[in-house]
Amino acid sequence: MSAPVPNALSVRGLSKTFGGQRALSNVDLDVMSGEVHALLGENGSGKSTLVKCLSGYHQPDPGARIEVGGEVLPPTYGPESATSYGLAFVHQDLGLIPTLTVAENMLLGQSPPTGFGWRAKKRQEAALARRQLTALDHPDIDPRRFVGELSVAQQTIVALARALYGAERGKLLVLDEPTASLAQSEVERLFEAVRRITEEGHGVIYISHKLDEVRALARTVTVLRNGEKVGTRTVAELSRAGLIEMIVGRPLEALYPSGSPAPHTEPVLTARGISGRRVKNLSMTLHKGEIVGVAGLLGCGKSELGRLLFGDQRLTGGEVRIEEREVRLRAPADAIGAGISMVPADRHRNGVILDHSVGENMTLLETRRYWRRGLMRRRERARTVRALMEEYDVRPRQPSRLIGLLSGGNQQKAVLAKWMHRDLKVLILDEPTQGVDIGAKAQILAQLERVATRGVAVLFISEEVDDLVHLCDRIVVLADGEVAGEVSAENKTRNRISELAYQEEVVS
Amino acid sequence: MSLTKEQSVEVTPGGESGPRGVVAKVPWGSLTDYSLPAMLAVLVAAFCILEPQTFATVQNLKTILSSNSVVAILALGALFPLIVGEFDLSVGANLGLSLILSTGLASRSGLGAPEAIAVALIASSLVGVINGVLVAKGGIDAFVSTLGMSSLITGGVVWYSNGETFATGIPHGLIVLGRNEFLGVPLPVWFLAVTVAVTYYLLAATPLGKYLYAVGGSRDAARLSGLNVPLLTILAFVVSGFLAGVAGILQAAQLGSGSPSVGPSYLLPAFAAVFLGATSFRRGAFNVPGTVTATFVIAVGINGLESIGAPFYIAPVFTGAALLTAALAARAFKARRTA
Repeated sequence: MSAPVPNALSVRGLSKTFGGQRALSNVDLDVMSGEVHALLGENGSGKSTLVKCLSGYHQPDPGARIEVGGEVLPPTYGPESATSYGLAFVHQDLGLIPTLTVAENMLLGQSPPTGFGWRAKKRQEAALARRQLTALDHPDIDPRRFVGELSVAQQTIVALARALYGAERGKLLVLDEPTASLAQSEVERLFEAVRRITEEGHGVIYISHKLDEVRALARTVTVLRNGEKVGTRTVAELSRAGLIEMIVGRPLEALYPSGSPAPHTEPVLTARGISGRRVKNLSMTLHKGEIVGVAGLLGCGKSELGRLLFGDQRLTGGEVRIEEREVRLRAPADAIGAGISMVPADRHRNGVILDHSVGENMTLLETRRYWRRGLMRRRERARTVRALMEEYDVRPRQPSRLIGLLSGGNQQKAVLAKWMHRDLKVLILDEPTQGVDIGAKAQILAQLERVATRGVAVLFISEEVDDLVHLCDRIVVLADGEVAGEVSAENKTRNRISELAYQEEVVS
Repeated sequence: MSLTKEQSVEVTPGGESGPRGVVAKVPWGSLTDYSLPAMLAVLVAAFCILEPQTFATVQNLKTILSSNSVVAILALGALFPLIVGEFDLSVGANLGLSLILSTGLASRSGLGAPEAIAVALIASSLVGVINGVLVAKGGIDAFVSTLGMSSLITGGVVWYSNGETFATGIPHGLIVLGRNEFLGVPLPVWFLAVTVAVTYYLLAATPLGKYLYAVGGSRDAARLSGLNVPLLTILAFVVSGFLAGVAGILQAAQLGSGSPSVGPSYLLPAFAAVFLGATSFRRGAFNVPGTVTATFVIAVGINGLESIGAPFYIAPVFTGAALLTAALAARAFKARRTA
């Protein structure tokens, strides 16, 4: 192994502000040549902003100094020149084109070898690609095969090879969650390839949620929290618990005083061994008047759980009962009929019909109720809509305004009104406070508490652990589609949740 | 990221100038708009003044109304798939199918007028069912599936008619539909009036109409609101097929014969009317009154220009220009509405 001499990357005073909000403040980072440097932090801690500043996608705030292999990047540098400075990136979605061959993918955006009449020299292309793949110890991947035919693991290797090919004088490779969709044995082979890269003297930044992988692969760790650097340590000097504490930012004791948990004993929704696209053999019970949180890392299946219980994904196993009666959930209509509401994530796509009015959006579910004796009772509907806008504080109070013209917070309040203003037993919310300002967020959370006191069982799926901790009676933590554990009212803390979420093997 | 999204949503065209519609209407903010009927009135008035002898006659009015009822009914059919966010490029060919069946079955197989008409309507509706299933269940892009269907029908029509026109043995019961009058108004115009009334009622005053517009607005949000999106999509194609069938029968009745080459040329005028129609009444949304008004704006424009001596190729030029103008206008409205 070559001794880590000059820094592959040196960052000083990197800040990034978005419209008054600081996503990164004054971060310093050093990556040695020949080392794997892990970059850790919770969702929203600033990891991806940092990577995007390096790739030239974001322009850092003035005053930052980024040096790659001793060369200072100009402030105006953009994504197109990243490779020429020796920076290479492999993002989570690998960015390969499945309908092109391995070789074509690797040479895309470079200048492929061409002959007379601009004819692509296929054989030369393949040879170039093969050399890269062999360097990564993967001569088994045929450069002439289509990328779409390869396994995900092989595609990851191709993406790696392409990134390295682009940065011929590569000094720094950034890997953003490369193992997210790999099996354990495939992860090991990827690690071999990464080690080979470092042996050639490249520096590697490795971003992952999986702490055991980090501990196996990386030499040093830098942790970010709320846009600030918590610290850099060598992996050897950190215990697993110490690492989690750095990421979460609090010692491992209870933080929030436990309120007296009201006894919720009457079951409303019982799921027994349900399975779906990501969810595996999951059982849970929601009681009357209870707010149950669902936490977990990206891709753990928490969003899918909501859609599964709402009939929007096919149930491949198990059963769902509402008040002891089994319900068949083939489509959202079945769930709605059974008294289930769901406020979906990605409001612009799933929650609202942008080119419809606020009133039409709010009353879509009950359209039929206003149709009597062959006519739509417009005035009656308008009266209901106005009352709802008052109750849920949707502004401005103009029922005929197109919902797309409202702020995100007001759109979401209208969506909430649409789903809560009915005779319901179970309310599922998937990231209801996404893209919503603080004021509206407080109102939305207050509405959830209100609906729970009405006797509705609330399932609150969220990335935002603080919201869950404050609002929920108990929190179910998912990992890899299964319940990794449950955090009860007495000991619900951020740490406990993160511990469970980061746990790779579910102890059964 | 979410911040910038929010900001872009809050950019309200004309919204800063206070509540709309109180003193003066903010031109981009209002959703109802009567520029299309106004344009129709201006066109009619202008040609009446320019050509009092040829244009401004009762007979010409009747001709314009009854001959364009076919296009208007076809356009009202094409409207439905467009509302659910798809489109049906087979309406022209489907009109041809109905035309050739209603004349051919009578002329060649000796069926009576009611039977021939029934078979034609069923066939055209079936085409709609197949289109709908291909798009909604088969997941095939509407462009490909309805274009393929269009070619298939056109070929089938030529095969059935052997490329010849059915001109003899057309039953009186069919021809009457195209030539007779009721209360001084030609029968095709009555058919159009009924179609307008029914489609307008369906779309503007029933839950079904709301659901169709909801599917067109956001398929995902509609699905998550419990709507059966595939079924609604298929239904829209069935309406499109059925009305293409009605239009084909009326065309057969007016021509008094069945030619295999008539259908496809109706596609563009129908689409031009629907798109141009979306610029008025419920602006930015495909709608019934807009579609009908637009049909006659185009018809009067062409008829009037011909009567003041425009060359014979004015019709396709005028129609194409109307479609492009409408598409550009619709895009601009959409951008403003959802900016």
